[in-house]
Amino acid sequence: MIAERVQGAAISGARAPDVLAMDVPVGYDAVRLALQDWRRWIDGVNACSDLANRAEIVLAEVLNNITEHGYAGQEGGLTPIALRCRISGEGLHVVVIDQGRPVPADQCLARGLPPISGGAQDIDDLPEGGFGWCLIRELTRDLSLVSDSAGNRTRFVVPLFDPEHQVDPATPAAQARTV
Amino acid sequence: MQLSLKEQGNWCVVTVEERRIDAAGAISFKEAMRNLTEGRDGPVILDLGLVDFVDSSGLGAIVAAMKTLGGKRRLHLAAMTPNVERVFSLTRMDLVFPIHASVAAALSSDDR
Repeated sequence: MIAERVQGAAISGARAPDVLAMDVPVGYDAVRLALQDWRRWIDGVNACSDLANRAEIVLAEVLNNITEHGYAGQEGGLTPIALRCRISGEGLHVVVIDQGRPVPADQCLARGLPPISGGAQDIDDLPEGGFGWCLIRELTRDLSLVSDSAGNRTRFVVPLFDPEHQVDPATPAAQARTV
Repeated sequence: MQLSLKEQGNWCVVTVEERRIDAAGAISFKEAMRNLTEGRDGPVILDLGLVDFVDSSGLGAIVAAMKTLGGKRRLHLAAMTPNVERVFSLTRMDLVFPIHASVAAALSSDDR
């Protein structure tokens, strides 16, 4: 595969079609463009579309978290985020490497849903944030965060099948699992 | 963010004319919602039929839009696609909004 540059995100010389290596510039717009390129890749390797849909949510959360917290307030001249993906019979294996401020792993891995109580509460008390890590945890397996001199590495697998969280409007959403 | 508004009876129906409500578009979504709905009355139906992707920032923006409407005007969600519905159910925000299969179903609901 030849290296190509598409709309600000570089997709470079993967050895096999089921492997992707991409550099994602820091920023919300850049993340959106990168996800479009990523989507073309995963649709092109004939991954199941439900896997691609779940993985796109997780990637958006991970990459936007890095933009929002890891590189808070910084813009321009930043080292791009390295995204590595591999498809296997288990699902999509992902490694994300960034050079931003380390995110405290214990907090992210343990953080539950923002508090809500169905119906009765005042709408002004509803949370407008804090959903990201909940989505990441619910949709991945083998999630780990490691920070050292080489940067921050976020690893996870988005499983091929998602028997625990079938979308079913008749069933209330599952309680958040604790990791 | 491209949103359009139609008034039907006492309802405001706001259609999102884009495929994503994400971190890059969350602020613009909130502003567009405020511009379209302020100075009007009645409950609002947000038609999400064209939207195939909402992330946590988009979800937060929809919650913020509901708060902006105030306690008396409800924000109903209609025609959610499966991947958008998944984000609402995993975060339990599906318990907070009245959710309808279609705009027509929302229009025939009793705004409760």
